[in-house]
Amino acid sequence: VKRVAQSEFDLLTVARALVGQVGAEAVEPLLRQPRAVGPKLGPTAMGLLKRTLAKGAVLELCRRGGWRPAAHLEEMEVVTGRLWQRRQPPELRFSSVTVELLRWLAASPLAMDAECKPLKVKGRVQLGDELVLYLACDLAERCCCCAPLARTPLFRSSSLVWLGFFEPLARRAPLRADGLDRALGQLVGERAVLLEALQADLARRWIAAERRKGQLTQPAQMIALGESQRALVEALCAALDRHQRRDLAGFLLEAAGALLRHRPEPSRWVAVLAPGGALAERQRAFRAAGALLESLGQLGRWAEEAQGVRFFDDEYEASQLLLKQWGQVGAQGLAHAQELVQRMQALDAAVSAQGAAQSEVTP
Amino acid sequence: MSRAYRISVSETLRRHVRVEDGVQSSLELLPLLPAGRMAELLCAELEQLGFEREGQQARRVDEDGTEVTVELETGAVTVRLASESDLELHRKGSGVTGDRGRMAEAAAALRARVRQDLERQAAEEQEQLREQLTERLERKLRDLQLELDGAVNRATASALKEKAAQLGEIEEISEDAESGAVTIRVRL
Repeated sequence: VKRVAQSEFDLLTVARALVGQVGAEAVEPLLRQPRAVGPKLGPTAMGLLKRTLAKGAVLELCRRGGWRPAAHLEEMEVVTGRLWQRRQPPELRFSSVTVELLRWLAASPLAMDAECKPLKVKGRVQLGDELVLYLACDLAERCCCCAPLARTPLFRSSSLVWLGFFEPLARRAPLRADGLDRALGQLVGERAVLLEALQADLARRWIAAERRKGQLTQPAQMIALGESQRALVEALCAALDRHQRRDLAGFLLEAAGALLRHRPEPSRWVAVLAPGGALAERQRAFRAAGALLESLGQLGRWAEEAQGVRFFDDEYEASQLLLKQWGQVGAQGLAHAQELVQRMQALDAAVSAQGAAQSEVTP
Repeated sequence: MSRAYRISVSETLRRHVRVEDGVQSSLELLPLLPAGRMAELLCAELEQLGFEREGQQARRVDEDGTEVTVELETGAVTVRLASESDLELHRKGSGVTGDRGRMAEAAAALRARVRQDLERQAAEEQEQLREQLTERLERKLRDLQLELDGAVNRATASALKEKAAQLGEIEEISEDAESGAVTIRVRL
């Protein structure tokens, strides 16, 4: 049995929760309450942390979608299989950023946003650190204490965190249009392995986020969320185009396909938006609600381009892969999405919804 | 023995306020003919509805002050309604101080409080004005959407006829006024 100090044990427990070795409920008190954490880790604790991350991070990547047999592009060639069959195992390097982050998570009372000290880290965020940031957001969200993370620059500058957790981040402050260009370029380039492995996880998160839009009551909340989402998708599509990795938009198609499957009505997105306030703001909120649906236009244009590739062209296989992914939405799904967007952006959209809402509550 | 001194202040706030609300949308015009020609056809229909052409825009200002602008090339529609009003608000305030030497100071504090109340009241009045404006705009929008949809449908039908004439000899045109369907028989 290896012995470590109590504070080191707490930190290691948080690390184990991040990689799914213990449940969120086991660390919730740890995350929510303040506690003293030593300035350094001893060699025993450091050894245990390395072992936890080395085994746990890989396993967690696989659990969250890497195990699924899938097809992706590698220099415009299609590679198939599970994550470890498609490409060389990635070197998940963790720097002092991860250690500092774990120390901050264990020490800060995340349930008391105002009392959390800012997280200060030095050094470049490595591939493993980026994954840890994503997992930390997930853990904090499951413990309902994500707010301090959403205002921390380290999280806000991570494109992977934005893709997975745009809701809490946008709630804190909207995404700047050009804020993530460089980080997204890196994510779809040298760090694409993370995006590949997390496709299923991201799709699940986007479906849930779209469904939660229907519970938003304040136009300002919807505007912050939808406009951040629009900026994020636009920046992502531009980066995917630059790096010839359009296949990595698969999670958007999976999410949109699931959302459009039963031909939902616009009320699914804007049913409970508050009727008061200026019409201009309400209409902006309606427009923001359809941000994901609107972005399908861009993905549809990619599908059209793929349809134009002939079977003897070099990019034929890659195009077929994109068309297979596009099949989750398809022409019918796109037409329905466009109709929804049109209805949500009509001159009287905000007015109609109010009328409908009033008639629903009138006996 | 100390005496109490009563202080009274009276403040008036006069302000010219302007409130504005509006929405933006776009008309779905099928690209049956070149963009310039589609814009011409749309403009002709809008002129029937009282719009006036101003360069690449068609604009109409209704009696109630609603301003509708249509960008002919892109189909972007902006509807705006503004209203202005002159507010004149009065408020009095009074207080008591036991120190004669500090009367000026107490009066200034009381005056500041009264001004603050007036500002709050002005903001409430402005918000009320904006709510009335929004209600007027809401009532207007349903009819306006129908009106513009009709113009787009008629412009599309005209474009279809032109397109058909380019393809061959039109033998028959039948229009269903109720559904807006147009059937054109063309001999190629």
